[in-house]
Amino acid sequence: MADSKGNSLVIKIVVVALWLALIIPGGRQLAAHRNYEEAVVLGPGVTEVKKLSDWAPYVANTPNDCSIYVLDSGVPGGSMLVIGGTHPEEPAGVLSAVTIVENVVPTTGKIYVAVRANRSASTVTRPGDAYPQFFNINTDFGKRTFRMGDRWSNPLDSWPDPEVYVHYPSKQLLAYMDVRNLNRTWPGRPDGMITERTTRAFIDMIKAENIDIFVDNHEAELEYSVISTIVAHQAAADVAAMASMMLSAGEFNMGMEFSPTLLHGLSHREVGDHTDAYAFEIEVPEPFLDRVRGITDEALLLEGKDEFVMRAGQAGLLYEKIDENGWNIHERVGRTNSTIDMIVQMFAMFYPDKPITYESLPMRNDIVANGLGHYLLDPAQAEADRVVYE
Amino acid sequence: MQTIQTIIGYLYYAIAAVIGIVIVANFVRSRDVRKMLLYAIVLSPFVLRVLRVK
Ligand SMILES: [Zn+2]
Repeated sequence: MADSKGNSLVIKIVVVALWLALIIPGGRQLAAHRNYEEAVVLGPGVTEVKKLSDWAPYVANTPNDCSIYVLDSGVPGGSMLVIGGTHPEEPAGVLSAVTIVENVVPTTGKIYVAVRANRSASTVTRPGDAYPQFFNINTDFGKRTFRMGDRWSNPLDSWPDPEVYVHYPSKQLLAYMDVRNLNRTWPGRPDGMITERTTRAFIDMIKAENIDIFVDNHEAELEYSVISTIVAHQAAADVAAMASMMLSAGEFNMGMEFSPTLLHGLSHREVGDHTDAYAFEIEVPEPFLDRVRGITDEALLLEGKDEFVMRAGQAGLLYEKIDENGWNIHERVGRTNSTIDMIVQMFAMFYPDKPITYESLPMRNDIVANGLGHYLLDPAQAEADRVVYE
Repeated sequence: MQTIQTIIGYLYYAIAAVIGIVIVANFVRSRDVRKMLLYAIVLSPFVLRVLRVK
């Protein structure tokens, strides 16, 4: 009996040691990702960096009090807000926003940019789906490292989820986890859960700054029908349709869809309904998100090549073409930027009294030719007060 | 609204901690290696959540 007790104690010590050997390094990796400071360099056009809480005190001291980069030409004109990182597992949206902050110099009007619209969702990934924790973009000076994120806010910032998510104010019933989905909580409320508070903060900001054009950057799986398209609120439909026609005729295929009037919580619906801004969502293809994908790693995220997604395409199961060249990050960020640019141009055609003009926005052909990294600045070379950490 | 959510949030952390303690107690009482391993694995998410790591 004494022997078996002694044996049992030894076994327990071994099991505890094994457990610690797994949980300590694993936990440290998770914490390092959550606390990683992602550098954004202020380009020559950035005149001010504000916080979302400057417009909405109810998001102060939360993980979602993201930076708002202001690019003010000083010349009266229109105003635009571009948000990246609504879904941080869609890196082209984030990187498009970064290229605006680091390159664009406005000459008329004012541009506002959020790189990490749902910062909380960028502090968590899906280890169970084998998501990488970070992704690296090769640049002229070395690598820039960005956090890979998830579609939903971090449960550490929003827990528990309700049994059913009742959207405010429509009372529409949505899936429980979508109370943490920044593209299901518009227009939000100041006393709601953190993701609802974040969208409300953006609404308050859009109203306070009289934003004319609102752009929400996204990527989509090829299995999903809303892809390679601009989704527009009905008020913005003419501008979106013109942009779609111009892009599809001249550069690459970009469709246009109306925001469904009865589906609530989406940015293109609620920003259009609750503010005066023209609301657009841009969707470019990201094979990484396809459920039929094979090895899920950083290469797939950035190169967008996958034999299983290709086979799904050969079987006619996809809504966008894919071949052995895949959908690389340069193409995806480039298309997002060129689409934003075309929306701005078409808006100016309809509303010449609200022009927004700028220089140095890297367009699709530039990014594909020179590589995305060519348009990212070196945080080590920038002055300390010109680097912001997200 | 926000206050209620905060209270519910703290309660969930308390529930996770209690479940964690029960799993540890079962682990200590266990004589079977397979069950010890099982308790150790099951404990992990509760510890990571209570420590606000994952
Ligand atoms: Zn998205």
